[in-house]
Amino acid sequence: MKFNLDGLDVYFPYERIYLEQYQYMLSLKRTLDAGGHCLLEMPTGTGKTVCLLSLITSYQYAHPGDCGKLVYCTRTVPEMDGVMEELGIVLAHRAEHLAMERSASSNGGGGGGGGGDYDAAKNNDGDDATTTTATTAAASASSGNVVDSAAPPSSSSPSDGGRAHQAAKRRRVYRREGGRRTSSSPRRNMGPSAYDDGYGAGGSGVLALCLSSRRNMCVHEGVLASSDREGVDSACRSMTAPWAIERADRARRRRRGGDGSGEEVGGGGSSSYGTCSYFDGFREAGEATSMPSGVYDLDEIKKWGKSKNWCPYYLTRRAINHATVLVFNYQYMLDPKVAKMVSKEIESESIIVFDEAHNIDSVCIEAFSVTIHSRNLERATRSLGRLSGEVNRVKATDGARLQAEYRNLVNGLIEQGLLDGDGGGGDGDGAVVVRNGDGGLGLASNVLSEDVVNESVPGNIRRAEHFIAFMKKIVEHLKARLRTVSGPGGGVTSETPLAFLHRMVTTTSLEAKPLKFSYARLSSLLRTLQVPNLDDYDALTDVADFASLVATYSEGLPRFAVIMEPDVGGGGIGGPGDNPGIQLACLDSSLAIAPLFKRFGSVIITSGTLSPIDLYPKLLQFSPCISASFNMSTFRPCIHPLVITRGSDQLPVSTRFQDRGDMAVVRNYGTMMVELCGTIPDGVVAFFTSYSYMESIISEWDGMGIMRQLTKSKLVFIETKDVVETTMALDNFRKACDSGRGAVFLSVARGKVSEGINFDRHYGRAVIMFGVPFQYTLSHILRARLEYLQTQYQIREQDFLNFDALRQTSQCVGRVIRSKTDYGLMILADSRYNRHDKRSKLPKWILQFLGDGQLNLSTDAAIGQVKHFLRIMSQPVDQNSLKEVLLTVEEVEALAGGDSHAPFITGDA
Amino acid sequence: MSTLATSSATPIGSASAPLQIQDAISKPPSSGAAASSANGANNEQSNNAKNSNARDVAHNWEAVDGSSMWHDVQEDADGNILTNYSQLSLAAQIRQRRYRLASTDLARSSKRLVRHMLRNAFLVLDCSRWSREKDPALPPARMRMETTLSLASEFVNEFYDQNPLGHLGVVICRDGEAEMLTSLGGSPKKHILALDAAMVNEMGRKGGRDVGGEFSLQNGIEVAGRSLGYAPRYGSREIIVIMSALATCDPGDILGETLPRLLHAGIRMSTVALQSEVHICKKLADATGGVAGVCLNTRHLRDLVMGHAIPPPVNASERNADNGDEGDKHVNTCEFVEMGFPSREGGDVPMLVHNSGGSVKDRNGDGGFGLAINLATADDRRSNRLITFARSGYVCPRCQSRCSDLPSDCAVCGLRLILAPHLARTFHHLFPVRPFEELDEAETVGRVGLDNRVEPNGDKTNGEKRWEALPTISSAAFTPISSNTSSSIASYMISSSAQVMDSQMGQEQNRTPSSKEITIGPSLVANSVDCDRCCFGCLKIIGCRLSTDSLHGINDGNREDGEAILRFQCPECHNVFCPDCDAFLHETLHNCPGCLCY
Repeated sequence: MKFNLDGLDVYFPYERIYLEQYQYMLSLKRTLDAGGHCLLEMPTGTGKTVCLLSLITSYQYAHPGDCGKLVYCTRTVPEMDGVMEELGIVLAHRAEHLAMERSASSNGGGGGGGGGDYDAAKNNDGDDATTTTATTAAASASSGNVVDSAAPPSSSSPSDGGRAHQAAKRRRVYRREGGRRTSSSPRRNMGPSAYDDGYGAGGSGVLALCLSSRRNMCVHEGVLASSDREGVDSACRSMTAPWAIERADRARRRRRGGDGSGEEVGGGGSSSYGTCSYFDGFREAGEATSMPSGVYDLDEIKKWGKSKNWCPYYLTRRAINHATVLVFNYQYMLDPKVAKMVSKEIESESIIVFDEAHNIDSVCIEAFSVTIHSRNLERATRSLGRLSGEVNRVKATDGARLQAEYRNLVNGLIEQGLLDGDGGGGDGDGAVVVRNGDGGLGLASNVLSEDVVNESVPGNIRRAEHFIAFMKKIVEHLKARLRTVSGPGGGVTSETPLAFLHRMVTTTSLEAKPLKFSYARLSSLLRTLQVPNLDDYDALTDVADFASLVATYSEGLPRFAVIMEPDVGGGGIGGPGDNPGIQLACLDSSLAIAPLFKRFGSVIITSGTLSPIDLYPKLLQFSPCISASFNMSTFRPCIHPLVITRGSDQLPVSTRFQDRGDMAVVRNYGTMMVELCGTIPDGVVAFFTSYSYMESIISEWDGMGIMRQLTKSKLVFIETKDVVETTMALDNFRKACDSGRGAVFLSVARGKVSEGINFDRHYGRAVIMFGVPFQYTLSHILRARLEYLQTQYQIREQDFLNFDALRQTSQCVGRVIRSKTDYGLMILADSRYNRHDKRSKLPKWILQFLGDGQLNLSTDAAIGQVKHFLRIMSQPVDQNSLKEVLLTVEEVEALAGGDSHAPFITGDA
Repeated sequence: MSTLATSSATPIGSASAPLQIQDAISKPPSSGAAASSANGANNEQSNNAKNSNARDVAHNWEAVDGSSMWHDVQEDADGNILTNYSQLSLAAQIRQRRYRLASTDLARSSKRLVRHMLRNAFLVLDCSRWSREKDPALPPARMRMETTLSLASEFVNEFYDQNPLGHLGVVICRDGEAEMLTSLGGSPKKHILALDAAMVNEMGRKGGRDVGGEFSLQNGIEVAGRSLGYAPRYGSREIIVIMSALATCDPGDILGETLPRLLHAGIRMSTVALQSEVHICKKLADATGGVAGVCLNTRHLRDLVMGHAIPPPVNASERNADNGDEGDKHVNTCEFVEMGFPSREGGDVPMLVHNSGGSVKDRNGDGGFGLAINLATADDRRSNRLITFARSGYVCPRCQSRCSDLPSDCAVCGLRLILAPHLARTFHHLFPVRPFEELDEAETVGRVGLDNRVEPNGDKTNGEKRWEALPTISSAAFTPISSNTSSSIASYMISSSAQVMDSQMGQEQNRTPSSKEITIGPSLVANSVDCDRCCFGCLKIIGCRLSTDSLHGINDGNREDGEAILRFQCPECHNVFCPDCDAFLHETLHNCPGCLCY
């Protein structure tokens, strides 16, 4: 459907729209108009993604010149695929709509400005068949599309491959239709005809790309053979690094001079010279690469890259500038190491979307934090030894290279040195053209670009030997510090970076200034030495990173804390003192994201659970234009939250520290679990506050015979810290739910399962939350952070802890429902949930279903409600009432007309 | 009662009125005599109301616990006990029921469907430990199993009533196993006896919590399915599971092994769950074209189970599956099924008769000798088959053997023995009465309307005809009401929709409605033009309500307030029916008298 939203034509791919979707789009649109940032909370399963995509692409379409790209940040690869799929639907719908409009208005006469590039896009089908033409992407002017306008119209008949993958795409669309949108069928009635007359890769003049790691994008068989990420990375680097290319070029030239035969491509995608044929193909195409517009998800870009013999990984990195929609991981935006390479060139008018962003502050903090264990220090020492060996070898064989590096450093070309490093040894034509891909040894420091001193590297670390000695001193110093911490009389020490730095400088008689450059200098050295496998040196890079960060951010407010613990993470096997480590903890989550707010016009932070929404602006230090939380419009109360405060014997249950060991609490939790599992069919998920608590309570339950009772009604699966084990447990859990046996999954809030894994439909008829998942308040990092928040942002300790715990709760509890026809119970089993300060922080869409009758229940009262709820919800879904909560175009227009004067959005801020 | 008339308002059944009345009644009559105490009583009432509200908040669980029996029983204005199964008004309940039937009951859908006439169905009953719990939503103080088994007996009767040609079998699941209680057969007696025996047997088992063991859906289906696999292709193959369990403990993979077998054999699986939706049931039902229902309460459970007595439509996939199996298309095309129409023979001398099961005493009241020769010992597998002496029996046209009751299969030659009415009863499913439409309160369907209406047939005589077909008033038709009115001058009021709203809200207490009055008498129907106020089926006056002042004398007035305003019109013949007749025509008679008049 197409409707007018506040003066903007929005192309929405479904026939009907939910009220909250409309409100969501309206506030989004107002934000974009105002050019500000916003915080929006809307429950998952109400079509958040499709709203975002259809509104923003419509906005881009309406304002072709001045609104840059849509950058959509997701957390995981499956989410990315999901977004690409939705985008495909949205754009195809828009194309269909536009085609209809144009044929209606101008009878196929070419249309207006929009029509031109549209027609051009139509021709792109031929691209699969034709070879590259010289049209560069940048040439296509107004809409920024990469269109291959030189492709002759006669060749526009789609190749078979194109057809096939078109069909595949369509099939996927419909399969998805059958899956997630099962009963909301009226929302989608797109005829297949829209695809049949073939627009590019299902696109409509928009190039949409997603970026991911080499492991997900590589098409080279040899490289893909190595299973882990590191293996893929190093294998790829060994074939695409500048020196490898150069060597191959030399070899090729020599051979050509010898017998004049042309280049030959070896089997398995590798050329005979040890380089990657796809990369070679990409390199040869040079600036002439072009991509037809369309929506490329990972599979598609791989397929396309393979057909063109271009490396998809490097291709996407070059095509960033030409894309209208970019989908990638948070890290590409937030982690300065990666962001420097990827998102540097995104224009400032762009719209940045962070989806599922409820943990964005943690992501920001993680991006700036470094942890070094004592064994890593050992490894660092070893790599330093290897490095000096390398230096000696290179000095003996190819001294000019080190010399060239030194010259560069003298000239202050530390950053550029990364790129031009091979210019000295090579001979001209092998110049690497990859500008913003991490073509060579892409290492960048964590330090934000504006904080980097624009000076040349200090003299005492310019020479490779000197630098290695310098690093050795640092490593030794850190070792010494850790020895004191873990030794007798030691203990946890927390210092400000300044104090730490001061001590380091005095004991090692190093200067502070070279420390700042340690990271950059190290990467330069590694590059010069042509080290293919960077992962061997990651311990050393961590140390260098640490040193740079400490030195750079030592002045002014202590936004970091250096914490040395005898036992990092509490997971030491041999007791305390076993795993000493040193952590540089970032305390200010706004540090990483602040540049984004400054640089980009609109940053949109959205998630299903952002409540309490008012703390985010404080944490991230920005002022949102609109911050709103939306209700869920439902045709039946499909969520049933229950707050259980007492066991059947009326004793309060809680996981408060004083109470958690109490036998009455343990027993009450146990009987609650057994009774609930005996009442609820299929899958149940239970969350505990921590691994240790879960382990202790399970062993106690086992002693009481509760586990045996539990296994009568459900199979029991337990999440462990081992990812593989947990994945297997999850698989079997699903199987048990599918086959009707019923299963319960015991897992941990903040664990892997609580984030990102859905327990929708019969996989999760109920989520039981045992206790309030507060963070471990004795953690030194948390203490430091709380102190910082208190002094800097005036956020009270308790406020932050509550915020964090409730956000985690709603995250866990929100796993249960993923669509409106689904239903689920949310059981909050702790007496503290009954308190207003906890309860009111739950998201609005949960609170909307939490009536007074569902508070302060005892177990047996809750069981009664559960039975009743399940009976009601098991009745067949009434399709008519399902339709009633969906608005048609006319209703939307009426809505728009009705409240154009009175803004109805009530921000929660 | 006299104080009641003045203090409380329109006694038309509202939610709050019964409470007040109850209070007034419970007061000792001596205190109620004084007029001044009426005020105090009112205060007390309001206090009571407040208290009850407060209590509702405090013990909220009582309302949803399912054991809210005191809400279900209410008193109406005259002290009659109303047993509503919800707080809805009667009219709303009727509407709800109609709606539910229309959406679930297959016979109600207006389309004419191809249905299975010869059904082969297995009833799989859950007697596991799950079924030994008490369920507050079901009859209290009974285990789920009792409810299930007694309902199963009722279902057996209903099944053979609706499908005299059908075959039914019963499987019982407990201890993780499935046992065939009765094999597929054409006689209800056998099943009912077996079910009774099972009930006694199961109830007698002791052993605490775990008696009954687990429920295994797969075993149940496999046992039933194996037997159904031998059922002839021209009939349907169905499994109906009534399960209390929330989990099934299976020896194998039900989705991987059993489902393909079900699909291959073209077996339709339906479930009725007593507790809650279990995914596997839903999935199997969806895959095989069955229905997965979950009961809300006893009545709903009954509806759901009895719904399965109506033959399901043949679905396309089933047809395809059949074709795929057999290779050619003769399966659902015409195929002759041998049946015998036996004649009944009787005489003074008792003779040996094949008895298809059941006790000897309660059958053939005229002739049982109480002597049964059980031949089932060695060679006859069907252990229920007996030979008895009886004075009358049906003679099989093929082998001349006698059997005691119909329908059944001949014990000797296996011929299906039926009577003509059985066939007729079977066929009515093919030509269902179309669902009637509810008429709006204000809408008049009378002669005036008829004149203007253009019938699709276009013949003008339509209106004339209907006029002729109108029920003539006989005094007998009005006796129940006129006797109630205790005087000949009771007046009725034609209600309008606005007042219905009011009466349901329990407001607008003393206002006299200003609508058309009809004086009752022999002249009522004959003189008034709009005969739609009178049910075509039973001649009861509908769409009318007793006016307030005349209501006190009437004792069965509790029906009028809810039902009398509901009118239903047949889409074919445009005659109007009352709710009772609507239910009767659709659920029992399966014919519309109006349509049959033409």
